[in-house]
Amino acid sequence: MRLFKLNTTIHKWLSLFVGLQLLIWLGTGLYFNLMDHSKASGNELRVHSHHEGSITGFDLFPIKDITSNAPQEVNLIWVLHQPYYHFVFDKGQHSYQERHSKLFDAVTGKPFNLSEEQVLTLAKNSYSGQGKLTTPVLSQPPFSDHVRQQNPMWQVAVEDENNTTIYLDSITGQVLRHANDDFRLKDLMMKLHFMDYGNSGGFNHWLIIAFAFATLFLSITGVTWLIQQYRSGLLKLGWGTNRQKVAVTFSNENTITDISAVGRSTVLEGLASSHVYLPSGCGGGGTCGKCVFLSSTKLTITLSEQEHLSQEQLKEGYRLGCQHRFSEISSIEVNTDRNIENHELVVVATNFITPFIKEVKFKLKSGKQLAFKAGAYMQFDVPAGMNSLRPDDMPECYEKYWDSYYHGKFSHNGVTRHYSLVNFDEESDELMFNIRWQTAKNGFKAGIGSSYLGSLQVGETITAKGPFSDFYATSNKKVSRVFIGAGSGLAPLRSIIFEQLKKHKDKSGLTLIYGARTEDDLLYHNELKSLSEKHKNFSYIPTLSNPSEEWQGHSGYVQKVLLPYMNQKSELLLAEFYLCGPETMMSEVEKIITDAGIPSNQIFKDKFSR
Amino acid sequence: MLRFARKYHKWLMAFVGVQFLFWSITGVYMVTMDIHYIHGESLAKSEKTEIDLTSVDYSIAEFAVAYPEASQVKLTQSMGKPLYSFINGEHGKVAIDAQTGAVQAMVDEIKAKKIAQYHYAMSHKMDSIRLIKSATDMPAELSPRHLPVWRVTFEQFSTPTFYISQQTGELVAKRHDYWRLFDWMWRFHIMDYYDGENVSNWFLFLVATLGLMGAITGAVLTYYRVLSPNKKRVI
Repeated sequence: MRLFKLNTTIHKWLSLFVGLQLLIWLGTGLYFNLMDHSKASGNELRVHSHHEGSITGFDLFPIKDITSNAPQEVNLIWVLHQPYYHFVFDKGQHSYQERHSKLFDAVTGKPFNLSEEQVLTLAKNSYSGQGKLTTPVLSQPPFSDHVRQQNPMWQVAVEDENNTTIYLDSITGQVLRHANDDFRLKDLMMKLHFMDYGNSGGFNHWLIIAFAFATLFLSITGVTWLIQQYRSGLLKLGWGTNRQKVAVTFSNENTITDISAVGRSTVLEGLASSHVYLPSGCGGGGTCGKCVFLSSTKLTITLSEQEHLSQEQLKEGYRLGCQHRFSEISSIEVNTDRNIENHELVVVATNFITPFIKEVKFKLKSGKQLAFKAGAYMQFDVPAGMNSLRPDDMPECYEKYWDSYYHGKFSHNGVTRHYSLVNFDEESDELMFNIRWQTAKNGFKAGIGSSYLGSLQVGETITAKGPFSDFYATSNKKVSRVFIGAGSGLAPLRSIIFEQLKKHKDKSGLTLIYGARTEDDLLYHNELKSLSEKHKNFSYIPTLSNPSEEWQGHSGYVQKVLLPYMNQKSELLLAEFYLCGPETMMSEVEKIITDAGIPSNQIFKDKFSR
Repeated sequence: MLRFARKYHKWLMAFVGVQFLFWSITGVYMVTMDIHYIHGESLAKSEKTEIDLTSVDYSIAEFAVAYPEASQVKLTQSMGKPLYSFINGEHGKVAIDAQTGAVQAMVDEIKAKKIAQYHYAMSHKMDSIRLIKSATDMPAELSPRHLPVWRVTFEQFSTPTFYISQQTGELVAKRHDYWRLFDWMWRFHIMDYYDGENVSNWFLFLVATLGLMGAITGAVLTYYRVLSPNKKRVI
C-alpha cells in the first residue's frame, strides 16, 4: 500500500482547498488575541445607566384591568423616569429572536408608543462623545451591524469620527448596541472567522462544517507525516554544527570530490550548501522521489523511499537525498552536474621562481573576490592552438637548465587542467598559482596546460572554474599537523600553512617536510624560513635529493627524512598528515605513516595528477 | 525558496502542529454541534403559558405598599398560577403569589423536584438533587448571581442538569455534558486552560504566530507543488 504517498497527496490537495481560509482563521485568531476588547465592543463612548424609579411615587394602574391579549410576561420598566408595563406576548430563548410585545402606561393603563424625541433622548443619555445625533429611524431587519436581530430597532446615527450608530429596542427604547468602526472591524473579523459569508449570524452552517472537516483531515495527515518523519530520524533536534566530509562521485563526469556539510542537514540540503543540486520537485518533502543518490553504505529504507524507488534500486543502494542525514553517509554517487561558476581571470604578474616553475598571479576580470579554503584548486580551460616548446621569457640565470630543450612551437586541441592555489583567500586579492613547465624528453612537445599557462603575459585572460575544495585542513584546533610535499606539490601545503598561521592564528604544531632537487628548485625557501623563525610552532625541514656542496640541510627524499622523524616523536600518533607530490612519493610516505600506527583518517592526500 | 519553505514548514509544524490538530478537532465539534442544543434548549419544554390576568387579584398598588423597595418587578405564570418576582432591596430575590400576595415559601426539595420534572422535556428519572448556597460549593458551569439554587441531575448519559432558584423556583440554567465538553473545546481552542475566558493569552499569541508562519510556508509549498509544478527551478 502506498500509504505515505496517499497521505502526502491528501495533505497537498486539502491545503489547496482550505489554505486561504486557514490563513484567515489564523490571522483573525491573532486579531482576537491582540485586539483591544473595550474598543472592539463598540462601547467606548457608551454610558450604562440604570434608570429605575421607586414604585411608591406613582399611583399604579392595576395590571388586570388593562385591555390587552393575555401576555406571557409583564415587566414593570422605567423609561425616562416614567413607569410602563411591558407586555410580552411571545419571545424566543434569545433576545434577538422574534418577539411580540407592547408598552402600556403604568399610571393610565393606556397603550403607549415611544416618540422620536424620547428615543433621541434615550440615545443621547447613553452616549458620552461629542458627536451630533441625527433623527431616530425605526428600521426593519436585517441589520448589517446586528446580523442575527430579527426584530425592528430604532437606529440613531451619530456624526462622529468613529461612525457610531446607536440601536434601541423598538418597543422599550432600551439601548441594545453601540456600533462603531472598531466594533464593525471586530464584527468583520468574526464573520471571516465563522465563514459567515451567507450572513447567518452564527457558526453552525454547512460551509464552515465542510471546511472544518477538511481542515481536520489536513491536520491529521500533517501530524501523521510528522510522525513518519520522526520515525525516519528526520525530526531529531540538535544544534550541532559539526561538519561531515563525504566523498561524492559525479557519475556524469566520473570525478570524485570531497564535500563537507553540517552533519545534521539532509543529504539534499548538505549537497546544496556546496552548490551541488540533486534534482528535486518538492524541495525535500519526500513526495517527488527525484533526489536520488547511490550510497556505498547500507542505509535504512524510509516509507517515502519504499514508494518512490523500485526494489532493485533499493537493493543496489539508491536512496533519496531528503530522507537521510549527511552524517549517515560516507561516500555516495550522484548523477548530477556540479554547478560551479566560470570565471574570467586576468594575468596580473608572472615570475619564474625556480628553473621550471613560474609563479602566475591572476585577478578576476569581474573584480570580485573569491572565498575558498586553502588547498583548493581551479580548473583551467586551455583553448586549442599553438604553444611554445620552451618559455620565451626565462631569466638568464636559469638558461643552463634548459640547454637540452628545443625552441619552437607545437599545436594541440585544448585541454582542461587543474592547478592548486598557492595562497589563501584573505592573503591578497590575487589568485596565485605555480605552473611547472612540463618538458618533453624528446623535445618535440611540452605539457599543453603548463606551456599555455606558462606563456601567458600580463593582461591576457583565461577561463577557469572553481575553486574546488577537496583538500583542506580540518577544523580541529588542537591537533598538530605534518605537511609532506615535493616539487610543485608544495602549492596547496603552502596555502594551508599560511592560512593556519595567519588567518586562523593556529598555535598547535605545524611541520613542513619539503623535498626538491637542488637549492634552485626550492619554492618560497626564504619566505618559509622566515615564517618558521617568526612562528615558534612552525618548523620547516627542506631536503634536497641533489644538493650542492654548500647545502647544510637534509639530503635525500622526504621519505628518508620522515622515517627517523616518525620514530622519535610519539606525540605524532594524534597528528594529521597532509601529503602532496608525485604518486610514488605519496604512497611511500603513506606507508611509513600507517606503519607508525597512524589511522588512515588522519592522512589527507592531494592527488597531484588530476 | 521551495527547499526553505519545506524546511521551515516541517520544523514550525513540529512545534505547533499538534495545536492545529486541537484547533481542528475543537473547531469541528463547535461548528457541528448546534449552539442552541449546546445551550440545553432542547432539555426544557418551552414554557409559553399565558398569564391568567383575571386571577391577578393582588394589585400592583397593594404590592407597592408592601414592598416599597422592590425593583425589576416581573409578572409571570409559573406552574399554573401568576407570580410576581422581584428584587426586594437588600433582601434579594423574592416571589409572591399574584393572587393572594402570599410570599412563596423558599423552594424545598420536594418542590424543586416538582419544578424540575415539570420543565424537563424528556422522561428520564431524576438522579440527584442538592442545594447549593455558596460560591465555593458551586460548579464553575453556573454563574454565582443565581445562588442559592437547587441542582437537579437526570439519569441520562449526557448528565442533564437543571439549576432552580431556591427563592423564585425559576429554572435559571440548563447544562449537559455536551455543554461541558463545548466549554473544554473552547478552552483548547483559545489555549486558555485556566478558566477559558482569556483570549488574549500569550501562549495563544506565540502558537498562533508560529502557526501563521507555518501556514504561510505551507502556502508557498502548495503554490509551487500544485499551482506551478512543472516549472524548472533551482531549489
